[in-house]
Amino acid sequence: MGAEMSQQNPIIRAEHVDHYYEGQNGWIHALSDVSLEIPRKEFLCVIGPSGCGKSTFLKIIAGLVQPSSGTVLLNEAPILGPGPDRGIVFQEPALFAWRTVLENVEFGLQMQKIPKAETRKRAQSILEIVGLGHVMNLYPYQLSGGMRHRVAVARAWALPNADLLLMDEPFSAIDAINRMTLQDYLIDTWMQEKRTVLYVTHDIDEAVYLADRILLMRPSPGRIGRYFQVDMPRKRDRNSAEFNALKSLITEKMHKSADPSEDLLDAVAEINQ
Amino acid sequence: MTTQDAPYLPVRSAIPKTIAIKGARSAEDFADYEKTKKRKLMIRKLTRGTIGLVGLLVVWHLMSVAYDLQLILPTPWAVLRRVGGMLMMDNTRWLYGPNVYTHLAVSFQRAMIGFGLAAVIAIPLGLLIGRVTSMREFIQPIITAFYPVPGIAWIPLAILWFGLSDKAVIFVVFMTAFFPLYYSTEAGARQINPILIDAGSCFGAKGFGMFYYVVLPATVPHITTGMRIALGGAWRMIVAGEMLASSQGIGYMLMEARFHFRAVDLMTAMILISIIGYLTELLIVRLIEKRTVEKWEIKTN
Repeated sequence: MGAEMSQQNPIIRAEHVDHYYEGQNGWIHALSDVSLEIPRKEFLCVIGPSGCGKSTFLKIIAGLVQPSSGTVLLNEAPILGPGPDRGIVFQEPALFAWRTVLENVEFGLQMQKIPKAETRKRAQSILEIVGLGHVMNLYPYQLSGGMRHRVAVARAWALPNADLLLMDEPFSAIDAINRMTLQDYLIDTWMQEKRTVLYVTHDIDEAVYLADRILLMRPSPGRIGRYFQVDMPRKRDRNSAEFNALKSLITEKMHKSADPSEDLLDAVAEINQ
Repeated sequence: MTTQDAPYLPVRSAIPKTIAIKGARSAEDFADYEKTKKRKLMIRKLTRGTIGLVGLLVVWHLMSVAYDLQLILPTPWAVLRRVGGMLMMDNTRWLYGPNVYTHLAVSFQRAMIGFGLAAVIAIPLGLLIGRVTSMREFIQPIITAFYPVPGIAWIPLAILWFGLSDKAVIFVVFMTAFFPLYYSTEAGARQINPILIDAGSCFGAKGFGMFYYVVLPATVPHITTGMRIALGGAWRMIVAGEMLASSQGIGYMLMEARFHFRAVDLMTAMILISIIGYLTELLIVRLIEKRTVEKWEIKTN
C-alpha cells in the first residue's frame, strides 16, 4: 500500500516557502510564499526574469540552501541536506577534472557503495545514451564545452535512486545550435527513462520544447506567477503554429511579470491551479 | 560522429615563431615537421643553457686565476676533479671519516624522514583546516604563532631535547618542511571552487569520502607546489642541522672542510647537495605531478 501511495503523492510539496539572503545592499527577499507540488514523472520548467528566485528555489530542493521559513517535502519527508536521491546539473558542468568521463559518471554510484561492476555497466549505458560512448576514457579537459555538459547530465542521470533531477540552466552557456542538440539528447534520455525533472531556465523556447508544464515566476520578491500546460507530443516542432503561439503567450506574460499591477492570468488560456 | 563530437587533442605548448622549418607544407609531412620542430627547440634550449653555465664557469675561472685565489676560490676544474674523485672514492686528502656516499646517504635519509613526517602531518591537517571552519578557528592561531620562528632557531632546543643525534636533525627538518606544506595545502583546500564541493555533496560524498575523492585531488596542484618549497627548505635545513648537531652527513662534511681550510672540498660538497637536492625534487615532486596535475591539465588559479 505504501508504494502505491507514494506513487500518487507528489514528489515535491512546497508550502509557504519564504527565503531571504544577504546581498550587497542589505537583505534580499528571494522567495515569497511559494507553494507548489510537482507530480511524479513530470518535466517541469521554471522560467522567469532574473531575480525571480528560480535558482534559489532549485537550491532549496537540492538541499544546498535552507529556506528562511516554510516547508519543502521530498517524498513527504523534509529535506535536510543534499543527497544522492536527487540528481543535479549545475549551470557550469562542475566535472571532476581528476576523473575520466566514465569515472565522473560513476561518482554518485561509487559514493553510494554500489558494486563496481554494476556501477560501470550503468555508467556506460548512460554514456551511450547521451552519445559519449567513444570518449569515456578521456579527461574533462579533452572534451568540448557541449560534451562536458552532456557528461554533467549523464552524471545526474546515472544515480539509480534519484527520482528527481534538478537542472539549473544547464545549457545556458552553450551556443544556440549546440543547445538544441543537447535538448534533444536530454529529451531522448528522459523518454527512455522517465523521471521527475525540475528544469530552471530563462529561455522560453527551451521551456516550451522540453516541458510538460511551465511555471512562470515573478520577480522581487520571487513568487509564483502562473502555470502553462504544454500538451504537444514530443518531439516537438519548433516551427508549428501551436509551439509559436504558446511561446509568444509566455513571452508576453514574462514581460508583464515584473509589473505588480499586471494580472498574468487570462480568460482564454486554460489555467492549472 | 559529427564534428562537434570530436575530442580536443591535448594542447601542445606554444611554439615560438622564430624556428623556421623548410618543406613542411603538406599534411603528410606533419608528423615529421612536429618531430623536427620539437628536436630543434630542445637543441636550442640545451645550447642556451650550456652557454649560460659555461659563461659562469669562465668568469669563475678567471677570478680564481687572475687574483691568485686558488686557496679560497679554487678553479672550476679543480672542483670538478674533486667531485669526480670523491664519487670514485679516491682517498687523497680525505679527512671526513667514511666515504662520501655514507654522508650523502645519512643526509638523504634524514631529509626524507623529516620531509615525510611533515607531509604526513601537514597535508591532512591543511585539508582539514582549509575545509572545516571550527578546526581552523581552533588550530590556526597555534600555527600562526609558530610560523615566524625560523627552522634554524629550533636547533639549540632540538639539541637539548634529542642530543647530538639523528633525531635533532630530523626534528629541525620537520619544522622547516611543515609550514610550506601546511600553508599551501590549507590555501588550496580553502580555495576549491565551491561548485565542486556542492557537486560532491549532491552526489553523496561526505566525511572521509568528500576529503579523499574531492578535496584531496582538487588540492593536488597546491600540494605539489608546497612540496617543492618544503623539499628545498628540508635540504637547506639538513645542512644547517648537521653543521651544528651531528658528526655525520653532508653538513658535517662542510663544517669539517672549513676547519681544515679546504675550500675545494667545501665547494664539492655544495655541488653534491645541489645535485642530490635536484634529484630528490625530480623523483618526488615531478613524479607526482606527472601522474596528477599534468594528466588532468589542472593548474593553480
